[in-house]
Amino acid sequence: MINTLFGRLLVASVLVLSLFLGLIDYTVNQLTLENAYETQQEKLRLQNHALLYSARISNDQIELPDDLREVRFDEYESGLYGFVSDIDGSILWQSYSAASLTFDSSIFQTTLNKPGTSQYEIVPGYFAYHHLVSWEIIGDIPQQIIFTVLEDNRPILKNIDLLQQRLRLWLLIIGLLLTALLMLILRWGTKPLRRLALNLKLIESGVKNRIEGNYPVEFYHVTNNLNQLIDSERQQRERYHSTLADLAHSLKTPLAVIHTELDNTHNALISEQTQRMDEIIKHQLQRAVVVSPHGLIEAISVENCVDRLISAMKKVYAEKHLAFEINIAENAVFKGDQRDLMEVLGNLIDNACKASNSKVAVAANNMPPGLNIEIHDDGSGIPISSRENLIKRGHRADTRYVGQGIGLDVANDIVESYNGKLEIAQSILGGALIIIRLPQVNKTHGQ
Amino acid sequence: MRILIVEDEDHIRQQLRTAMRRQNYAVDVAKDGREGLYFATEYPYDLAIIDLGLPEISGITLIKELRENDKQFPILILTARSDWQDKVEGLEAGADDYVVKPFQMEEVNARINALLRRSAGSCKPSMSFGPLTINTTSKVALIGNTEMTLTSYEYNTLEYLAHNAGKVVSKTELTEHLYSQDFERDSNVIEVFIGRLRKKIDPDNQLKAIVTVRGQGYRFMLGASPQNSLST
Repeated sequence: MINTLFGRLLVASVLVLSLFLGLIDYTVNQLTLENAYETQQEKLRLQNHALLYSARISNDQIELPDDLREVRFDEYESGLYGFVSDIDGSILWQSYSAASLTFDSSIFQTTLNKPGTSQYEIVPGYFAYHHLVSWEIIGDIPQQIIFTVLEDNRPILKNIDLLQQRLRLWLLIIGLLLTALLMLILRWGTKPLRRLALNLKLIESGVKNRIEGNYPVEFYHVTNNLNQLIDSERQQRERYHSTLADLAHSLKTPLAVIHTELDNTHNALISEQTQRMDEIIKHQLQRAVVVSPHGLIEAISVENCVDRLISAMKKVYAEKHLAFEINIAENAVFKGDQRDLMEVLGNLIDNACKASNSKVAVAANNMPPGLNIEIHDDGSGIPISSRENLIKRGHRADTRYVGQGIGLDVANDIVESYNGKLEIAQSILGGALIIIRLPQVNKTHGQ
Repeated sequence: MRILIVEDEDHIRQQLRTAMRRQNYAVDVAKDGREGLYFATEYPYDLAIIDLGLPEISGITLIKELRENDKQFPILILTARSDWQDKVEGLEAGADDYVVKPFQMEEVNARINALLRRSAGSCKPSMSFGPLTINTTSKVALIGNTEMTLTSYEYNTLEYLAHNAGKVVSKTELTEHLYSQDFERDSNVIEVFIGRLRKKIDPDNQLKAIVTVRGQGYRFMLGASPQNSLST
C-alpha cells in the first residue's frame, strides 16, 4: 500500500490527523485541569476566609461557632474539612466533618512565614489551602496561626477523568470520520491518476492504442504528449515502411526486367549477381525498419497474426493439402511492430510449409521470461551441423551462399533486434522445430 | 486460356506478355488499375496477373473490386514489396497466389499452371479421360501412349473443353477464352478447330469425345468429370 500514491497520501494524512487530534486531547486536558485547580483554589480561598471571619478568641483559645456558614463543615465526612493550627502544626481547632478522620501531620506543614500570606497545594487525596495570620490569643503577644481548608479531590479528579474519557471518545469518532472523508477525497483526487495508469496498462496489453477520457488540466499536457508520442512513433514507422517499400519497388522493378531478360540469354553469372542484389536489398531494407521495443508500443495478438498467415498459406500451398495445427495461448502477445511479427512468422511458417510433407504446427504462449513461439513441420528437418551456421549472429546477407533462402536469416535478424533468440531443434513431428524466445518488454510503470 | 496482365512497368508487362504467348495463352494487357478493372469486367478471363503497386487503382483495390463483382478467376499477384504484410493483404483481398519481383519466368509459369488446375478442380498437372490424357504443364495431349499433334489453338480448345467437361460451352465462350481482345475473331474458326480435334482424338468416331449441342455449343463427353492421374 505504501508503494501507491493513494496509500502514501492516506498514511501521511492519517499520521498528521492523529498528531493533530493528540495535541487537541493534550491541550484540552491541560486547560481542564488548570481550570479545575484554579476554580478549586478560589473556592477554598473563600471557605478559608469564611472560617477566618467566623473565628473568635474566647478564654485565650480560638473558637468557631457550631453553625458555620458552610454546612459541609458540619456534615460528617462531607469532604470539606476546616482546621486551625499553630505554626508547628498542632491542631487548635477542626471542623465537625473531620472529627472521625486522621490526617497526616505533614499536610499542615507549610512554608508560610509571613502573616496574611496563603499557600495552595495538592496533597495526596486533597486540595489544601493554608492562610497564615497573626493573632493575639494570649495576652498581647501576637501568635501565628494557620487556617487550613482541605477538600477531598477524588470527586473532582473523577469528574475530570470522565470528561477526558468523553473527550477522547469524541476525538476518536471525529478522527474516524475525518479519515473516512480523507479516503473519499483522496480517491476522488487520485482518480485521474488511476485512470491514466489503467489506460497505460491497456495500451501495454494491446487493448487500446491511445489514452482516452477527460483529465484534469494538470494532466492534460501529460496525456496529450503521451498520445502525440504514441501517434508520432506509429506514423514514423509507417512512413519508414512506406518510403522503404517505395525504394524496394524502385529498385526491384529494374531488377525484375534484367532478371527476365537474363532468362532468355542464360547468363548464369549476371543472373546470380542480380539474385544476390535482390536478396541484399530485401535484407538491408528489412533491417532498417525494425523498431526499438518499449512499453507503450501496441501489443499484437500472435493468434490473429498466425490465423491470417495460415489462411494465406492454405491458398499458396493448396496443392500440398497441408494440415495445420494451431495452439496459441490467449495471452500470447508481441510487443512490437505488427509487420515485424508478420515477417518473422511469415518466413518461418512459409519455410515449414515448403519443407513439410503433410503437417505444420504453430504453438505460442507467454510465460516468463517472455513470449515463446514454436513452429513445427514434418519434413526432413535441419541437420545439427547446419543449425548453428543458419542462425549465426552477424551473419551477413551478402556473404551467404547463393540460393540459400533468406527467410530464416531475416527472421533471425528481426528476433535479435528485439533482444530475442531463435533456435533450431528437432520437432516431435519429425521435421524441423524453430523456437522463438522474446523477452518481456520492460514495463513503463510499476505493477 | 485467356489471361489478363495488369502491370504498370512497360518492360515487365511486355516480358510477361511474350512469355504467356509462348505458353499459347491468349493475353490482354493493362497498364494501370483502371484499365485492368475495365478489361476484367468486360471480358471473360481464366486468370489474371496483377501487380500490387499500380497507378490509378491499387492492385489490392482492384482485386477487391473484382471479387466484389463476382469475378472468380484465379489471381496471381506480383509484388516488389516482399514483406509478408503485403503478401497477406493481397491474398486476403482475394488473390490466390503471389510472385515476388524480381521473378523467374519459370516460376510464374508454374504458378499459373497450378492456379489454372486448381480452378478446374484438379490438383495434378495431368488430366485423364479414358484413353485421352492431357498434361497442362507440358501442354501435351496423348491418346493411349501416342502424343497427338496439335496446334496451340487446337490444344487450347481441347484443354478448355476438358476443364469444362460435361458442360455446354458455346462458340462465343470458346472464342472469348482462346483469343485476346486485340485479335480479329472469326467464329467459323472454332468449328474448324472442333472438326480437327474430333478427327485427331477419335478418327473412327467411336469415342464421341466432343458432341455438338444444337444451337448452344459443344460438350466434352469423355468422363462426367476429369479424373486425376497420379502421373505427371
